[in-house]
Amino acid sequence: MFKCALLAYLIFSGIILAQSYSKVTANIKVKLISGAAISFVKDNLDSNQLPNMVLLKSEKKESQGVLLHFTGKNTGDVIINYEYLNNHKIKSKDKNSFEFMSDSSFTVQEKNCDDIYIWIDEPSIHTNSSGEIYPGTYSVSLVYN
Amino acid sequence: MKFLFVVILCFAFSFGAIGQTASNTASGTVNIILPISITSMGGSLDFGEILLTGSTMAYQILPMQGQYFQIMGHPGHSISIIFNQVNLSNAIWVGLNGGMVGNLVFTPVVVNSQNEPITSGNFYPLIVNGSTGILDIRVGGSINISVNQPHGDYVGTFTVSVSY
Repeated sequence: MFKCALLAYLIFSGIILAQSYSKVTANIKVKLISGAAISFVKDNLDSNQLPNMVLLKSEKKESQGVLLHFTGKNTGDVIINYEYLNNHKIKSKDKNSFEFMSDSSFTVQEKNCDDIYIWIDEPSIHTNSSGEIYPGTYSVSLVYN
Repeated sequence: MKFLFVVILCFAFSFGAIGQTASNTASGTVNIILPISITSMGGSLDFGEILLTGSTMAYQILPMQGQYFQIMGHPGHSISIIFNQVNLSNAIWVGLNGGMVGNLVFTPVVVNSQNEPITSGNFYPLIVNGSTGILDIRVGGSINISVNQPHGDYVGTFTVSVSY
């Protein structure tokens, strides 16, 4: 009865309402990747973080290594890149030490989600062909796939 | 009851047609209001990948870089626009991959095509564009990531409704 009365009112008052309501939805997505990715245990290095890449730079003048560590969990493959391809060596610091070649990749898995320490063997990085310490800048980047 | 109403209505009209013999004229107006609609025209509210650093972080999608909606309806008519904050959760991702369930709050920012703010619950006129009214709105927003925010894929649904 009410609907009829309303319809009659609208007709006689000269107003015909069509659809008076509409809505739409949109999906929101955020992908949070675990881990501080990389941080410095020693030395003061500048870092410049991009969404899926961490870039480190060091300006060291002493023949000391730079100890980095990063954490990750289920982060998949990590590609490590560094300058001076032929001279650089990056090693993990624990007893299962192994070297990383530039552009090599490794997988951070659930079982080893603890901190992974990487020792950048600076003497091999920062010496030129004459054996002098190279005082320049080097960078290390980790890219999460 | 509806049937009775229709019968009465028909009877009234037929009675008028049959019983009225003298010529007569009458005038009246009917305003037909165009239906209102809102449609997604493109863009997204995808924050992409964010690397957790163990520190609080704030991220935003600027409205002009977010999702774009078009409202169509009666030209010049005012409409109400309503939207709310959205709780994002990684529960689905945790169900598949393990880990801790976390939440994020998405705070929307809505503007018109001139980048002027639009407030939820307020009325805004549909801009006359020929025989229709149009209002373009663009949606962005922000999230705040806490120190111990669990990782994973967070999802949520933003809803915007319009009405006369």
